[in-house]
Amino acid sequence: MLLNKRSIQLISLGDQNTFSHLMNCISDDLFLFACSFLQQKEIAEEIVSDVFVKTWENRKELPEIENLKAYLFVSVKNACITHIRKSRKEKLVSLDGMEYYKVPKVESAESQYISNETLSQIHKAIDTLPPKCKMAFSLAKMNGLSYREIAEIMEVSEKTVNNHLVLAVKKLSEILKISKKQEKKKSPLNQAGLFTL
Amino acid sequence: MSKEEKIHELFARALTSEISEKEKATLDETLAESERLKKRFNTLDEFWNRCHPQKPSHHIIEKTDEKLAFTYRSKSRSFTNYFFRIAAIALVLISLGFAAFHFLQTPVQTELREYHTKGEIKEIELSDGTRVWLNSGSYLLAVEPFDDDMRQVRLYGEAYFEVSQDAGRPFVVHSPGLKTEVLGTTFNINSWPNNLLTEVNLYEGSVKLTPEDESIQSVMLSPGQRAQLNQERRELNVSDSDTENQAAWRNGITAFYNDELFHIASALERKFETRILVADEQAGMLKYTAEFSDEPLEKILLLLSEAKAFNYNMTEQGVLIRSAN
Repeated sequence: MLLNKRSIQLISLGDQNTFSHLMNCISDDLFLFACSFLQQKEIAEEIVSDVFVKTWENRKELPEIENLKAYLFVSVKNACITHIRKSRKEKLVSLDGMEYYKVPKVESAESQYISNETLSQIHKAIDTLPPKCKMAFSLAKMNGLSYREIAEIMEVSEKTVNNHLVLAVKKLSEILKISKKQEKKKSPLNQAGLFTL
Repeated sequence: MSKEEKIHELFARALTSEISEKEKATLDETLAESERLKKRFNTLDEFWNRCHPQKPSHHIIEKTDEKLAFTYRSKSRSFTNYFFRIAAIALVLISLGFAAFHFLQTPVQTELREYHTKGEIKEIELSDGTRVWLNSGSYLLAVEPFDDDMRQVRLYGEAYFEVSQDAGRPFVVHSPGLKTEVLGTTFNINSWPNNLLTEVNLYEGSVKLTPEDESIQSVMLSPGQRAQLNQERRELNVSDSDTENQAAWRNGITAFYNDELFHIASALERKFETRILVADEQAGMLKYTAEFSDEPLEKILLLLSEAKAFNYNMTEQGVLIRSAN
């Protein structure tokens, strides 16, 4: 749980400190999420900040909200889609605006874990995923959200979230299978093995 | 659902920690049967847990504060850890005594060296070639050159040692309540003045630990083990150490390995220079394994309390932690 009932009560009564605590906890995640939609940091900043402002202005309603984290993600999602619609008047934007969602690229903290080559293959595999699958994957991997929270944010069932993630993991797993095979082919030891047979 | 899909479903559930005990058992079984699948899962796990997007910097909080004209930031948040002040005064006295003692004992020209860090991590090389990484806010005292028959240093705080080999001259670290005696080895000592727990992690070689309290038996440690001396409970416990993460603090990482919340709270107290009080034993005895780099305190507390529940309150004066029910 992002905040316990008491803290939410405190915010609804106007406690600035607790609200600041909430922002500290969640702003990085919301910002990353907004950046995935917009790819423009300044606008993403503005949007998340506006969501906080609105949340504070409607603080009296907060105790009614079941999952505050999901609520904030949904608010950011809606604000991003509204922004995309406005900024692309001439073009048609689908209802969910998912076609603009890009999964953030990751880095390997220490290259000993995963080679840059494997990483770029993983990124390529992620690019081929269908848009909704990308978002479910990204919310699970980058934001560490639960199936239930993702289901709420994407307005789908948990079962659908599960299916999206199975597909994503399958694609990644296949990439690893192929790259491992290629590595084997390259290995001189294996080539030498041909002669000893 | 095909068998392949079933496996990928288990993979996905394991990576997202949504996996049930029963599913976990099935997954473990499957992986044990196939080296190929195991390798693939390990790579996925590394990707999932070790590769993260660059942490984007932003000014959302400042912006929002400005828009809402929040005022809480204007109050000063200065905080001085008086434990450390007392410790520092005590140290000067002790070090004077220490110096005088050695001065009287040894006719050779020796010098008391005092190494001290504040807000930084220092790497030191002692006169015998031993390398020491001193964590922020720690003191290390050494009279150098060392004696012919023994190398002795005194530590307050936390340090990681790579002791140079010298079979004839054991290396001894004195920390509050504990004497750690070694030959050539690599180990970490965590022993803060305001902390009842002294911890020694051994990575190579062997060390002998002798508590000052004679009612506690001394122990020998083997590589990969750690000892925790609790002076209040009069216990010296040996358990497995986190060998993957040798003194991760040297790289600015705060790592906990099956540590009690009491211990974690005092580590966070030092890192964030704020008072953190654990109000009851039930919460204090909760154990965590976790790693943090530059997360704000709010986020660390949130993540810990999500893993194993406790209640906490943050105020101007500090943090109060209570058990969940």
